[in-house]
Amino acid sequence: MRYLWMLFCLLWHLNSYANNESKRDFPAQSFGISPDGKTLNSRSIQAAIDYISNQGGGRLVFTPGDYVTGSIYLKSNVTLHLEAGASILGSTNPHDYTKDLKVNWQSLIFAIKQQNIGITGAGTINGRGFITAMNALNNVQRGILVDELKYDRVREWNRPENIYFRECQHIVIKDITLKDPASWNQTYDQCQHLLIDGIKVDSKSYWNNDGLDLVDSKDVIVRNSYFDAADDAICLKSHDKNSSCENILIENCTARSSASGLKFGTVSRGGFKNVTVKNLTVIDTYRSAITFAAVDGGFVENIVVDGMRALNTGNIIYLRIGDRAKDKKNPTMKNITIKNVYAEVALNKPDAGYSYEGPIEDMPRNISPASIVGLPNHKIQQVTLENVEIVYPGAGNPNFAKRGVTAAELEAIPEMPEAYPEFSQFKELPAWAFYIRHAEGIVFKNVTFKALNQDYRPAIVTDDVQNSIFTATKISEPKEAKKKQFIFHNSKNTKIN
Amino acid sequence: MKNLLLLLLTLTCLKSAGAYGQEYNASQFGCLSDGKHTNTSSIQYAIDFIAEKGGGKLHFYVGRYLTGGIQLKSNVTIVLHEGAALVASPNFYDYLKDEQGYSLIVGDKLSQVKIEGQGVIQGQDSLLQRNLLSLLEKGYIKGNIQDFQPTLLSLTNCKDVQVDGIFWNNALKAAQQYTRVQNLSLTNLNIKGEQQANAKGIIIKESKGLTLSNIYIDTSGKPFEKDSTSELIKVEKAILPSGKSIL
Repeated sequence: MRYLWMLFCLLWHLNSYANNESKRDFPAQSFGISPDGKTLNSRSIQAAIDYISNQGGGRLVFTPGDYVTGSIYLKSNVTLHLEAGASILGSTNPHDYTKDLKVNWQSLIFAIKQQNIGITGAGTINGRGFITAMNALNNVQRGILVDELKYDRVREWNRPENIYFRECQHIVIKDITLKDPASWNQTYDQCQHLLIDGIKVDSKSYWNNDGLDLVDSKDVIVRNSYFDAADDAICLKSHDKNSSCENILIENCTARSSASGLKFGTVSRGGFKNVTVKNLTVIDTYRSAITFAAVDGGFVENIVVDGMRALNTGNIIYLRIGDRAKDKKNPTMKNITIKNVYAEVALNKPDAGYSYEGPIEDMPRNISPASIVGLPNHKIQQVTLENVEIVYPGAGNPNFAKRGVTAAELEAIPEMPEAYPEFSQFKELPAWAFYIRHAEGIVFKNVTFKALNQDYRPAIVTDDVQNSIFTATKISEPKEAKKKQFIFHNSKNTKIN
Repeated sequence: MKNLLLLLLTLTCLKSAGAYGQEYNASQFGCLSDGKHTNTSSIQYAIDFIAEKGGGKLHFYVGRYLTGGIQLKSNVTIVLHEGAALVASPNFYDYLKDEQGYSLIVGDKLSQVKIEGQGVIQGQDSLLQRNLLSLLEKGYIKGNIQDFQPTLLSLTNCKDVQVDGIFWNNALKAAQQYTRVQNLSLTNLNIKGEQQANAKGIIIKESKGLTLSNIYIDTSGKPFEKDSTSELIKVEKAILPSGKSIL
């Protein structure tokens, strides 16, 4: 019921999103902005934006052509409108990008503290980020740029995104295609009243290529969009411990990723509240279809995922509390509902053949189960799975990797509170379908797990889980009609109906 | 006392510069980790450069480094960190030939050779097989396809060789092949190759002083082949998917 109220609020806000369509249109070329694919247009585009904003607003219209530019700042009441066939191309020279002092990050298109702005139309923004990132790396190697390098790459804040908006209100991002940034793709940080509708993201040119990052933003609708990303596809973050992501609706979207499809975190200092996800499709995704992480002292609460189809995906659900916070905040995760899900876990590498495939790690490990893993002092609370079917390949072989179900073996699984939260982080886990540790109030209603091949492990293992109810949980595994599929270790008040 | 300290310090410096060698990152040599750019010449340049400087380690961090055939050198260690994959080219013409046939990584008459880390050496067996069949069909190469199928690693006439860690995936002919190698230590290996028929694991000929420890081999062909002149000095936990010993 409370979610209905939230939806109502969101819909009411719809008419408050940016609308510059009724205002004047200004052709880009009239400002001397060149569509020749060679001329660097940064200054002429900036001049055009400033002019239109000063005139009271309107659309800067790019007709078909290739417009090369470095960093530009969008201003209040201006919409960049890219007609079909128009491409904004990011310069491949790292020196053409600004590192904004407020956000301490690089971007092609910035907006800081602006209202009523947008980027619309069937055109494309192509960061050409791989080349730019390589040029930045060469600058470091030649000794002309200082960067600490991580994994032999320039850090993500020294590579430009396509879009970085901070503290902006009334934003419309509609119909555009976003391609190949050198860092994340689009960040909306502490923004409010944001509508993302009908966009296409093709973002797999380089390391950290997320599809979408919503950071500490409120009243957001993301819908009818397609995300194909090397890193997380749809990602909610919380950078500020005094802020959070709230009132967010994500519907009718498709995610493809060499990391996770839908991710909360990794940075999770403030929290995530009142998020509804409807009708999500996840395909060919290397890590989890859904990862919710509370690892930096923040909260994750009142989250509903209603309707998900995940095919050819490495893992389906990973809920994790960790404790990386240095200021001893209290990480929490509660009231999570995931329902109406059909999912198939891949036997082979699900993202094979995509650009910038995910790394093979935490090996040796048989196919990992979905997991809900809290910490001894920070339990995950009230998680409901309803009408969920997950099909696993099974085929776990103990000679390849083994984790048994004796008390000693279960308790030897490390807690890893400070580790990066990833479904594979514990290497081999003792269940083929679901592993739950340090949690309470877990409810499975009409949940089906199917293994296509025999697996040496039981389907479900719980450890330190109180008050769980498994109603109509169906388990099937070939030739294993009599196997004990549930192991409840150190768990109280478990009901199976 | 002061002089003694100075001497110790100098010795320490000499040791780290000499015996242990320097550390080098792959990007310094322009290696690209996107899985698309062919890095053969950059990697070879790096190996030659490091060898010339007296040896050291070439570090590959997480990413996919597509490469064709490369030649190892003495005193150069290839380190594939977790998540780093050397991805073998799907093009037959990218491989190098030695007395054992075609290979991705070759080495002859070397000492102090090492490949280590939690990374992956990734064959592209199916694509390569298709490539070979098409070359045979057009008559660009002639003879038995087996004579052209590459291994991932081929070492001949080497001594003091260590291969530690590393996932060896989807080799076409075999993951590793050794002839006349002395002092060969193979530890913590995972070898998988089930996609194409008759892909072997490890082939060893005329070699001495062989140590196998913590090896898992899951291949469509023979997991382990050794001629009668080769000597195993130690074998511990070297198993097949069934849990049985590879021997």
